[in-house]
Amino acid sequence: MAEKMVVSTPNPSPQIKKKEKHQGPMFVLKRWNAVAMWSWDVSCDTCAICKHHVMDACLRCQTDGKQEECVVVWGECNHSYHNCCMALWMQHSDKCPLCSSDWIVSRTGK
Amino acid sequence: MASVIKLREDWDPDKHSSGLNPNTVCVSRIRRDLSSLLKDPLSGILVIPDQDDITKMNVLVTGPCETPYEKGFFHFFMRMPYNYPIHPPRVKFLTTGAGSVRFNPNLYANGKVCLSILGTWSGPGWTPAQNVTSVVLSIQSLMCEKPYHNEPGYEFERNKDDVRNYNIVIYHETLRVGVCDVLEGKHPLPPNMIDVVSDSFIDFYDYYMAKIDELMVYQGKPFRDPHGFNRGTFNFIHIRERMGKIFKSIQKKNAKAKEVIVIDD
Repeated sequence: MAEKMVVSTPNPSPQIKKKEKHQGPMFVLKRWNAVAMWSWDVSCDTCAICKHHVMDACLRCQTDGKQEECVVVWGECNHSYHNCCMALWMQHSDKCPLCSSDWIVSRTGK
Repeated sequence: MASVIKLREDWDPDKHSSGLNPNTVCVSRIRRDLSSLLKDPLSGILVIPDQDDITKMNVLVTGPCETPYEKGFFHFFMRMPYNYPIHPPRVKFLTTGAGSVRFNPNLYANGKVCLSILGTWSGPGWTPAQNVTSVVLSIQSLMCEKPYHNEPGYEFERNKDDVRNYNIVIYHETLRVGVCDVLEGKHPLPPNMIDVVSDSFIDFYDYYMAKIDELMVYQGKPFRDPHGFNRGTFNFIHIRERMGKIFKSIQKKNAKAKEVIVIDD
């Protein structure tokens, strides 16, 4: 793997060799490692209702053995909750618990 | 169109309870609330959950500095409903001199705590994103510098010296009920709270004496509560006597406790 990443050519062409006599290459890139960072595109990753991580099933679904069914719901305000936690709150209010704006679902899923 | 806000009638944690057992989510959420409170303790606030029932907790708020509640001990009882955090907790204020003192326009003598997040006052209501910390902080914030203004319609001082007159009544009642009654055991506290209160009393004693000296000019005069909530006569001399006795008895107790430790050694 590492060999493929070496950029400098081991046998430079004669033309370049000529130039090298006067001034060597500025630098030689021997290896590079790409590092990627990621985070969920939401302003919080904990469900503010049950305080469990949104990517884990909520406690209710865990105890009922419904881990797979516990999905996340995102609102247009970019706040996210467990869908089932939010469903309980929706029986009382149609506002987002965190920002109190009208709750409009933008998507659900994992 | 203005919406009609319905304030909850069932605010009293002693009288109202669904009788239903708290669900697992409720209990887990209360635990998380309490552990976050342990991680980031609030200054002047002590929350002690009941050993047998985690949905019940005793809260002690020490009156904030620069307010007429300064260094008073205010006890609240809080109970989480079975479906917390979908519904807010019920809170009762207990340091009321057996229902005789209204410490704040929002803290009734019958123990009702008027706060919009508890559903007992108009304004932004409860949301499940709130927790024990936000509730106790809101309660502490009622104990402000000029509680006179907490009454609707009193955003401006109606008569000259109203704010000051109200504050002096609160200062007096804080020292009389929020300190003396509490320390003398007239107001029952959970055992682990008594120790905290006794230790704090010794630390605060000099402040109490200085405050009493400062307010002694009102000795023997009647209360002038502009809201008409509290009636009585200022008696700082009596408060000073009571505090002196409390101070001595705590010192005696501490000395005895030390003796025991020495013997144990």
